[in-house]
Amino acid sequence: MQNRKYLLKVRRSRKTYCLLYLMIISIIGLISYFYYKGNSLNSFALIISFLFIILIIKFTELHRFKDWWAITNTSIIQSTGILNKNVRDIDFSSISDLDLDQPFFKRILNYGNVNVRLFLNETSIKIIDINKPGEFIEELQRIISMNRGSKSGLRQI
Amino acid sequence: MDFDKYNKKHYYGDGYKKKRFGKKTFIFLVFSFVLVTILFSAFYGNGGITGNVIGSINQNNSIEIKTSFSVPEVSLDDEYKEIVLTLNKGGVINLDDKKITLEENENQVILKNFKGEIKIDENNIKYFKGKISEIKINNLPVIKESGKLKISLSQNSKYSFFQIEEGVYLKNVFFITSGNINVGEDSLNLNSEKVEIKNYFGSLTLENKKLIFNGLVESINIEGGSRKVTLSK
Repeated sequence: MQNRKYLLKVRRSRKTYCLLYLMIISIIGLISYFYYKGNSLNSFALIISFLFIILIIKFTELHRFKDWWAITNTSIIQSTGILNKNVRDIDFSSISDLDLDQPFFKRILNYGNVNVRLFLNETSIKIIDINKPGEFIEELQRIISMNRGSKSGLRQI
Repeated sequence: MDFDKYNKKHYYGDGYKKKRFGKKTFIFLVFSFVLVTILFSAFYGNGGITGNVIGSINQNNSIEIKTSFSVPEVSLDDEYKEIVLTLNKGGVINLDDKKITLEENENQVILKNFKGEIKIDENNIKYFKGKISEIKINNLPVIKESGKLKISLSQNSKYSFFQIEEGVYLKNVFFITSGNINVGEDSLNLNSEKVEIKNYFGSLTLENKKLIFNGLVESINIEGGSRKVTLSK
């Protein structure tokens, strides 16, 4: 699976964490404001602010790194986890339909979820919080239809 | 049949929603704690003295003060013409690559044209690092022929006297302290009250566990117990 060529590989968008980034910005802003005003902050406040910022950055990057989804010529691959890896490889032939889940806030920032449903009564693949999910669906549909066309048995004369 | 419902439940488990909410709430609570700590530290903490901005003071809008306060933590980061301090026995002065251990019980050190950072409290010099043009240790001068000398003191060096005779500028500082302020002929006694000093320019002396400001100030706010006093011209 490792050596297969990925036509498209996606991870969670960083826009997912915009509220967390906003928290970091507000903390840095507040500290800078008090520094500018000449109010000195005690070391405890500075240390916990610094730790909070580091932990948030670490958490968001790990969370983002944890899952990825890829499209190959014949299938869609879902990989979850860092230490305990769980990889699913689903052939295009078992995909029944795709749907886009994009609430208002995510629509403004142009990221969202894509549900890949399967014919069989088993779990669907949920591609969570990716950038430009509409374009991803279009690309996936194009690749699937190309793949199905090549397997249809029609030959060019 | 609603397969989607089944799928979501199967894939994420029953506690999925609850778990996510818990994580978000936890992060939000930690964030709120950090914010409250910053605000509390800025407005109600013991504060401290942080002087690092070169500024100017208008003498027409200023009043002359002399204080004798209990010592909060003092942090300075600036350029001073002369610093005089008395270090106790065992203190170590690092000058460029040389290490000087002080042997006398009381050692007078005079630093000329200091530029750097100082953190000092009631008993110890917690941090002292910078550059100087000249140093006199017990009246013995050490001068570098060209350029400046790098100086640092060992952490928590004990001192009995510290003075910056002139050129201390504090833009806006606050701290909780006891002691007294003399404004002209009037004197005001403080007992664990919050003092906010705006635009101070003058000298800073730490001696006998007292912080002495002697200079000009634009305004002083004193807050504590039931009183709130503002001193300004």
